[in-house]
Amino acid sequence: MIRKRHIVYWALSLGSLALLGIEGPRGALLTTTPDRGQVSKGAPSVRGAPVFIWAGGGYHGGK
Amino acid sequence: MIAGSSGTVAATPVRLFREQAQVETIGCPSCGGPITRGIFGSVETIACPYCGSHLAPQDSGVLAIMLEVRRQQRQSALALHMRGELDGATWEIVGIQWREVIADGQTYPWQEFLLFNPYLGYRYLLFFVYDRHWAIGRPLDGAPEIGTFFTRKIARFGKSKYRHFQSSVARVIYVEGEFPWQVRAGDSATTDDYVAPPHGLSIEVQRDENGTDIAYTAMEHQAPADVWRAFKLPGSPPAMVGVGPLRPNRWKQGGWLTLLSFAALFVLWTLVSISYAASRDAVTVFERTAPITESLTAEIDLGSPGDVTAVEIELVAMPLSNAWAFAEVLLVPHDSDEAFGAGIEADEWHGVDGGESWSEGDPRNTVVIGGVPTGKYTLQVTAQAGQGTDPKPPAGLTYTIKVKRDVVLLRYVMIPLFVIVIIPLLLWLFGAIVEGQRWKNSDYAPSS
Repeated sequence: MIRKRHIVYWALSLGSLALLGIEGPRGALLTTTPDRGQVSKGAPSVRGAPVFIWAGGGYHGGK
Repeated sequence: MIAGSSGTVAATPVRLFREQAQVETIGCPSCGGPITRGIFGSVETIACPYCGSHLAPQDSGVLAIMLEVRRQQRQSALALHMRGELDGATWEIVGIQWREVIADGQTYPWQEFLLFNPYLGYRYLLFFVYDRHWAIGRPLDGAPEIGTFFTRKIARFGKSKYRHFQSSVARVIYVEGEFPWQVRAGDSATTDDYVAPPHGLSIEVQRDENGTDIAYTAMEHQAPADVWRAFKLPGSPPAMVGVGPLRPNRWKQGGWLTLLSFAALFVLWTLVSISYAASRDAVTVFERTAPITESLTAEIDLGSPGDVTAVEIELVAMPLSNAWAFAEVLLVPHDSDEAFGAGIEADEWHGVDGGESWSEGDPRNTVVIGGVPTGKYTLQVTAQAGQGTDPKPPAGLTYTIKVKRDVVLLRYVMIPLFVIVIIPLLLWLFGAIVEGQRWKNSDYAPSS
């Protein structure tokens, strides 16, 4: 006899399988969201790079 | 199943019993109380509901005193001569007996209502006072086969197998009404109860000077609401306490379908996972090592345009000792103005604190960015490093950047597997908890 719990089980399982089959190759979910934006060519440094620069970001990390 | 398969009649006659208005009562020869006869045929004992005297019907119609008793009538959950609809038939309560068992110094009383239908015979409706569960029983059409399964007794009847639940000595403490067998307060019988919820088997053995009487009864759990509805009782029944020997385990219902579903979904998961992994070639499109002070630039190919992929970027900084390294990775598409960027940090820290050495961090780190349109890109990596808050990079530090496209993301594979496994596992766990509560009151409780 089919019970509500079976329907929930099938729905959740098939939904997660659909996530694997459809979204897995794209990888847009469950991954790091990249910074997006315009870049412009900056002045070459002594070492010849970086060429592209964008505003924002920057890192001041470490301990 | 055994108990549920019988007791249903296709068409119940409109008038099963005598007309109520024409009932003739007989006075109890002991107390004079009116006694209404419900059973026709062989009646062994009539216990006066008022004084409890045991009477025997005579051929002449009068009642002879077998045992004179002076006790007060007790209030049972259901009254004598009530009629109710159960299993599609009308039944009248013709006899009531209260019984009890004593286990571990605790008394477990229940009330047994003898139901009578002139076409179907007798049924036993049981109300377990101590946990407010109800069950209905009927004489078994034969004797079960008793055996053992490992160390536990089991009973087989038909295609059903019942596990032994409890052995006890049941004692009658109160009787009223008519019975087709001889029964008196104080009678005792050895009982063996076997269960296969919601069904059960009860084997009662009573020995006296005339020999041994063995009674086999098929039992079935009865929902209290069904009893209330059957006898048209006002209000709602008292809530059941605990699990009881026969109450169905709701978590185990549909267990086969859950198991079949699990097997089918697991096979489906395997196929989809293989298909997903096969479609990902995880090609390394860039790998280079450079001093930390240098930036890296290269053209990379993330596949034919028109699709979207996941890109894995790995940073390895060596040697890293109480220092950090950071790489900012830019992916600038050749056919669009919108660039993608991600930062990766690798660090390594160690020291001694309170006499204990510690270490944390990893000189290797990975990030995955998803939803990146395929096509050709200019990759630009800018690195920096420092020691603590000092932005000066350690001497001789190099870093390696590795970029892979079309990577397999295990998180997408594991989520459906988790869902497919965890739900049946939880259902099994909840079912096991309920069974544990059921069996803790049996002869097989862990502590007994």
